[in-house]
Amino acid sequence: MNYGPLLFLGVFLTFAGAWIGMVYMPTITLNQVQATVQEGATVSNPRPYNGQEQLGRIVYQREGCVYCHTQQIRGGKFNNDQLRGWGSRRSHPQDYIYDYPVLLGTMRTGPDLINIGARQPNQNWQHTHLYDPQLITPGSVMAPFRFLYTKKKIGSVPSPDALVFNYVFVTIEQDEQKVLEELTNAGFVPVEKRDGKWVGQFDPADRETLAQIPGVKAVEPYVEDGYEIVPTEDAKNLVAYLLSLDRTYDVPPAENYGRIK
Amino acid sequence: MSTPTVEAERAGDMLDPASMRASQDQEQLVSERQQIDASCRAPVTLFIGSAVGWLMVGTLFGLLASIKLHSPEFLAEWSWLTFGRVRPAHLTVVIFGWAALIGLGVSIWTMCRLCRTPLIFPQMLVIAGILWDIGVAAGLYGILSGQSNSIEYLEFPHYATFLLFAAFALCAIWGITTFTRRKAGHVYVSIWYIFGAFFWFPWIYSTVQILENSPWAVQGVPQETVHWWFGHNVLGVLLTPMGLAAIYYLLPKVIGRPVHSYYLSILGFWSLALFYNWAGGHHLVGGPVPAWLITLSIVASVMMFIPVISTAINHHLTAYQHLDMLRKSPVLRFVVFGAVSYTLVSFQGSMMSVRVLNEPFHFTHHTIAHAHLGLYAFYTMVMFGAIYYILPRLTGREFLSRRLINVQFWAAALGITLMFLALTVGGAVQGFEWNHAAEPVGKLIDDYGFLEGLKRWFAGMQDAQENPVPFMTVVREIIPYMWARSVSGTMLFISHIALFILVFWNIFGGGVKRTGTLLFPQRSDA
Ligand code: HEC
Repeated sequence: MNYGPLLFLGVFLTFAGAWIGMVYMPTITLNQVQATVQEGATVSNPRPYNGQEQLGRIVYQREGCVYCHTQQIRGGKFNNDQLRGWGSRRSHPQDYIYDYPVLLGTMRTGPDLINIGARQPNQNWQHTHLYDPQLITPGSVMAPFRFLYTKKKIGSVPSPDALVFNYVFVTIEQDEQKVLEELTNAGFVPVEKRDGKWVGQFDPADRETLAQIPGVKAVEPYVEDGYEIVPTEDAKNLVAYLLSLDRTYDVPPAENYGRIK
Repeated sequence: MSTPTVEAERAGDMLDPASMRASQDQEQLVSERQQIDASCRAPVTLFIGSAVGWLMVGTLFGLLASIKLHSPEFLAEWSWLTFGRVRPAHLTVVIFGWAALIGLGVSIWTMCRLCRTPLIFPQMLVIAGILWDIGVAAGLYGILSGQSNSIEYLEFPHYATFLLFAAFALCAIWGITTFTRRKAGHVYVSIWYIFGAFFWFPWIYSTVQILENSPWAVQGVPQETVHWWFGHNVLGVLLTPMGLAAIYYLLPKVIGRPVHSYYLSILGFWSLALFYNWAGGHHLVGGPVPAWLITLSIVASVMMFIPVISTAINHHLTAYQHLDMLRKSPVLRFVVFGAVSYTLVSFQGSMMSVRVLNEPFHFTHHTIAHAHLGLYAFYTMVMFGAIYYILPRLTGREFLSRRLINVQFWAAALGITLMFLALTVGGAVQGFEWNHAAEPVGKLIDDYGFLEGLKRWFAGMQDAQENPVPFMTVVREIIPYMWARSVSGTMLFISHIALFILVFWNIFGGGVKRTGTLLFPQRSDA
C-alpha cells in the first residue's frame, strides 16, 4: 500500500461502483414513472400543482415543516400508517413526480401529511391550527406560526379573509371543577388552561351567557374586540398547498416499484 | 499552573506510528517536525479556532431546537427562530462549520506530519479557511432568513455551497499535493483515509447538488435515492475516514506503541471503501423506492461489520494494555472514548438497517440518538482529542488548566451518554407504540408497576393493531425524554464553553510557553 496510483485506482473504482448502483440505476428505472389519467377524468393523478400551491410549497420548505412531518405512507406488515387513517395505500413513486424537491421526510414528530388535504379540507381549520396548534390539539408540540398572520384593528369593514375563532378565555374565581362543569353544560368546550385562564370553544358573540355563571370572573374573546387576524399571502399559499396534498387515488399495485413502467 | 500535556505523550512524539522507527536521527526529526508545524501554524490554527467557534454556534441552535420540542411557545414569535429553521441551522452548522472544518484542519496537519513534508504556500489554505467561514456564515444567514430548501444537509443556499466547494477543493488539492511530495516511503493507514475523504467528498457533493438541487435535478423519487446515498456518505466518506485517520494517528502516538496489525488496517480500509457507499438506501426502508435498492443497502450495511470489527480489533488491542494512561493523558481519554463509540455506533447502525429493527425505529428519536452517537460520541470526541494534541504543537503554548480539560471531558461524556439514553428509550417508545404496541407503556406501568407493565407492553405487541395507540398519546408520552435531551444539551454546551476558553486562551497567547522542543520539555515556569 505504498503505491500512490494503486491507492487512487482503488479509491476510484470502489466509489464508481456504488455510484452506478445507487445513483445511476435507480434514476434510470424510476425516471419512467408517469402520471396516469383515470378513464373519463380530466385531470391526471397526481394533479400538477398550480401557482399558488407551488408558492405554498416554498413556504413549507422554508419554515421547515419537513423536520417534523413525513410525506410517505408505508405498507407491508407495518401498515399502522394506514390504520391511523393517514392513507389507504402505500405511497408510490407516481405520487411525487411533480414534487421538487421531494419532501419524504425523516421524522414524525407530527403525523404524516401526504393526504392532509383529504383529511382536513377546511381552510379555517388549517389556518387556526397553524396560528395556534395547541388550540386545536392540546398538548401538541407543533411550533406556532403566528408570524405568518397579522393582527390588526378592524377597519370600516372587516377583512373578508379574517380568521374565525370560536374560542373564548374564561377566568374562574373559585370552585374550579364545579364551575367548569357548569360551563361545559352551557356549551363551553374546554381545551386547556393558559396563564390561569381556561381557553375553550365557544361563540364569542354569546359570551355574556357564560359570564353570568356564578364563580366566573371574566370571559374574554380569543381575539380582542375590535381586532382581527388576517393571514398573509404566505399563509394563504401554504394552506393552498396543504389542501392540495391528496394522494388518495388508486395506482397500479406493485411490490417492487422498480418494475413499474 | 498545571499542564495537561504529559510526559507520556511526549515520549510518543519520538516514535513514528507507522514503523516505530527508533529515534536514531532524532535531532533531524525534531527540526523537520518544527518546520512542518511552522508551515501549518497559520492555516491549521485558523481551522481549529473557527471550528470551535462554529461548534458554539451550532450547539446553541441545537439547544434551542431541543427546547422547542417540549416547549413550543419558547421564542415562537420570531420567524428566524422557528423550529423548522433552527433545526437545519443546528445540523448544517455542526456538520459544515464544526465537523468538516475541524476534520480538514486535523487531516491537513496529520498528512504533513505523516508525509514528513511541510505545506507549500500555506497562505492558500488560510484563504480556504476564510472562504469556508464565509460560506458557513452565509449559509446560516440563508437558512435563518428563510431561504432553506428543506433538503437535509443541503439547506444552504447556492451562494454558500459554491464557497464551501471552492474551499474544500483547495484543501483537497493541498492535501493531495502534500501526499505526492511525501518524503517517508511508507504510506501509513491514516493517509489512506484522508486521501479517500479528499477525493470522495467533492464527488458526492457535486453529484447531489446537480441531481437534486439544480435545474438539472432528476424528477421525483430518484432525488431521494440520490439524496440518501449522499446523506449517508457525508458520514461514510468524509467524517468517518477523517475520524478514523485521527484515531489511527493519535492512539499509537500517545501510547508509544505501533498499531496492532497492519493487515487488519488494510482490510478495514478497503472493506469500508467497498461497502459504505452502498449503505445509504437503508434510510428509505418502507418508502416508495425500488425494493432491490433497499435490500442492497441493507446487505451493504450488514457487511459493514467487516470494516468495523477489523478496525475495532485494531484500535482496542492497541489501546487496551495501556488503559492506565487514560488517567494521565487527556488526549488519550478523548480518543479512546471516540474509538469505543465508533465500534458501538457502527454495530448499532448495521443492526438498525435490518428491516425488523428499522421499521419501528424509522422516523423516531432513535435515529437522532444514533446520529449523535456517531457524530458526537465518536467523531467529535476524537477531534477534541486531536485539538488537545495538535494545538500546543502549533502555538508552542500549553493549555490554561488541566482541571478545565477535565470539566470539558466529563461534561461532554456524561452529556452525550444522557442524550443517547434519553433518545434511544424515547425513540423506542415512539416506534413501538406507533407500530406494534396495544397500549401506551406509561399507562401499563401505572397500572401494573414497572416490570410487570413492561412485560405486558412487550407481550401485547403485534405487527398491526386494529386500534393503534393514538398519535397524540405518544407525543405526550415522550415529553420527559425531550426534557432529558435538553438537560444533556446544556451539559454539552457547558463542555463547549470550557473548550472555547481553553482553545482561544491558547491561540491568543495565554497559557504557559513551551521552551525548547516538545521532545525535551523544559517549562519556563519549572
Ligand atoms: C416541532 C415539530 C413540528 C413542526 C415544525 C411542524 N409541525 Fe405540524 N404537527 C406537529 C405535531 C406534534 C402535530 C400533531 C398535533 C397537532 O395536531 O398539532 C402536528 C400536526 C399538524 C397538522 C395536522 C395533522 C392532522 O392529521 O391533524 C398539520 C396540517 C400540520 N401539522 C402542518 C404543519 C405545517 C404546514 C408545518 C410547517 C409550516 C408544520 N406542521 C410544522 C409538529 C410539527
